[in-house]
Amino acid sequence: MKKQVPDEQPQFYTRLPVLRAERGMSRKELAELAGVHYQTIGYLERGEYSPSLVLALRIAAALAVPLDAVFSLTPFASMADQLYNTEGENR
Amino acid sequence: MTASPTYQQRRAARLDDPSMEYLRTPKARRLLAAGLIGVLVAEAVLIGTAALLPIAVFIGGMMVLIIAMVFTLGGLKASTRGVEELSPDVLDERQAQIRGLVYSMSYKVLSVVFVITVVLMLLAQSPGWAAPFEVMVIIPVISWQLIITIPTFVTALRMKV
Repeated sequence: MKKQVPDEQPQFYTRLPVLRAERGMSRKELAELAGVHYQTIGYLERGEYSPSLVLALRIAAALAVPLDAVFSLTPFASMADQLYNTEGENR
Repeated sequence: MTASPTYQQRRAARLDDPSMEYLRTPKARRLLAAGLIGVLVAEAVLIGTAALLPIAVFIGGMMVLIIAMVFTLGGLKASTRGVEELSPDVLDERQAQIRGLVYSMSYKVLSVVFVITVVLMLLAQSPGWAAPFEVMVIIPVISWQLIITIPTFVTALRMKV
């Protein structure tokens, strides 16, 4: 059976901490909206637990963003880069 | 009208009590596990020496050990938030996954404990070892207590809960 937490590379990337902080939500509040234990939100934020599709959708709905804004298989660009397009300017 | 919480929901809430957070560190879990093993060893010693003790001392000792077991096992279950004993209905998907892992690991440990128990029982009955009656009591009693606490030990010592 495949290990849940790989040793080197993360299985997925998440913006959950940023989005949660942006909305001023505590882990407990988000956990209640998503119907999970607050500890599970912590594990998700650290990439130590891969959520089921249903849970990922519930979290995205609770944060009122599309699923791919919260979870991705490839690393997210930094918020600063996306907002100010600094990555393009630096090139 | 809101439905009153079920027994499992009340139990889950009790085992998830935030005031027990100090028990949820690896060190506290190891100490509680060592404490519970200590209680089982003391129980074996007490049963083994029962014939030498006055009945009041034996009963008093057993009462103390039972109370100590309730506290250490209760503390250990609070330290794991009870994921190993609660019904999947009151666990979230991550906790339910941990519960599954706990039971698959416990199954292996339990098999070993069971084999050791059977071997010891057979040895105790063999003509070469005239095992006293106390040994015949200690082996199944301690094995049974160990077997019912294996999932809690596995959760406390091996899982991130």
